[in-house]
Amino acid sequence: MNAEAVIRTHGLRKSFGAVKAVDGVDLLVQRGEVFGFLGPNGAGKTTTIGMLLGLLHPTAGTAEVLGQPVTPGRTAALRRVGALVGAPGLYPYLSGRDNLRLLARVSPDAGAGRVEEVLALVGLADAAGRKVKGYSTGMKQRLGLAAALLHRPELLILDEPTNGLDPAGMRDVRELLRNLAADGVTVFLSSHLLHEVEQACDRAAVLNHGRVIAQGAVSDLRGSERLIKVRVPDPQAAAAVLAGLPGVGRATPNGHYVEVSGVTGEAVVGCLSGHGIVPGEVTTSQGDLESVFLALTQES
Amino acid sequence: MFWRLFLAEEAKITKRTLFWVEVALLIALTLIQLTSNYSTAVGPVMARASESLIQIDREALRARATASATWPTVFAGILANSGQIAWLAVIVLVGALVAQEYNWRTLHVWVGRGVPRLTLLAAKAASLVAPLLVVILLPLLAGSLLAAPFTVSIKGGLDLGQVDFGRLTLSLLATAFGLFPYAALTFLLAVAGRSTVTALGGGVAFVFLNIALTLSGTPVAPYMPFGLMNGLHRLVGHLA
Repeated sequence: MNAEAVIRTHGLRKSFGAVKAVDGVDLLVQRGEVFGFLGPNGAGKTTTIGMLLGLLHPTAGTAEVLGQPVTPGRTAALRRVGALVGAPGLYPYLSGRDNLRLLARVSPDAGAGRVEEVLALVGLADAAGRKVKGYSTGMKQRLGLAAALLHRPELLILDEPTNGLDPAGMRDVRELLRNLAADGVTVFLSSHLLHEVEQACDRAAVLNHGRVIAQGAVSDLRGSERLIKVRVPDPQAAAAVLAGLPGVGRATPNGHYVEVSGVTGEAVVGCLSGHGIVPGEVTTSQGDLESVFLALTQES
Repeated sequence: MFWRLFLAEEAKITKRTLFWVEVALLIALTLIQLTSNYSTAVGPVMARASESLIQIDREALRARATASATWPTVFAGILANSGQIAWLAVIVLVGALVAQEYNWRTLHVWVGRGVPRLTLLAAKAASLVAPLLVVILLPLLAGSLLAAPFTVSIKGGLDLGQVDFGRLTLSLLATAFGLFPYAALTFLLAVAGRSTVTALGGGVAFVFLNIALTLSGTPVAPYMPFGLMNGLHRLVGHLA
């Protein structure tokens, strides 16, 4: 059960002046998995990725990629890594094909055939001859993905790869990631789109205020919280009452309902009845990643 | 890795429209200057000036214009003109080539693929040598070609034996070398400031400082780029 670690960070920290952007992050990503990296804006995701890609010096801690330490001065391991971080870096005065040919010059195994292969893979074969400055955001994103795949990386690090893509494009990228994982490529996917992570990833980590607040299999993360929805006459008042219930994760009004986590349905009904509130309808469901994410980030 | 990066950088430069526009402008300025010199050499001189002045200057002016429009003296004139105007082309080109990589986030792409920063910057700096030579060489070639019929027209023929190709090559290299300080400073400012405005502004400010120091004749002037270029040309003349 000791799968090979493809990314391993230990106590990774990065401060900008007094601001701790990343505060002791321990991550473990195993070979062949699609790993989701979640967190609200400003949680430290892109800073963490910057350190994994040798773009930033860690203030403390270590980052290992494919078994080798990575810092801005030690980047040899990154030759086997493909990355797309934020808006892709592209030369606007060159065509899509020429952008890839340029990158292929430093990748011995990425010949002309491989350039055409990745262009077809991301659905850009027809537009490959056009200059990039005329590309839409989605097309640039696809080209950035093609560039990341060009040298047949063992590890793919993607930060919001579906930005600017239409729903069909998003689905294509999800399928592509799954196919890559099936071929043995490890995918580290940072995304705001929780359903995307839920559908594409095997395991995930949730980052907030620079710290990992949860890490594990997506099914475990999802299953760790059961959500109870109670229909009540006054959801605000019911939420206030339930917030005082021992062990409650969150109690939030939502329309005619109040949503509660962290406690059993019986406890919720008992508590409300005790305060003279008669529940009209009680349903229990397994929490989806979005509710887990909201609960975790609000708690922390 | 260095050689592959160097070739990639060269490919990027040759595909920049900016580079070829700059070369075309320098060629156009050279050809206009030559045509003007030729007109002066064969046409009426200073028609609107006072008659006494015309008598004094006419022959000297015509001789100077003839030398500036005909082989073999035309080469030195073209190189001198290029040295005086190409600095702007070099500053704009280097500023755009280096600083825009930060704006476009393309440096991250290379670094994120395991390319060592130092190797990348070294390849980028080395790749600027060829454009420096090209912005001097192509106007020289174009000007030489145009000066050939001018020479035939004024002197009745071309004598290749009069051309000192060794000295010409050294003068070409000296002129290109005289542009290095501008390229180096702009490169440094682009890397340090990560901004096209900083790189271009700093480069142009340096040129004005250079001009001011040269005109004021301070002891530092010979060590500034204009003084360096003049010194190199004197050395080439001495060697020849």
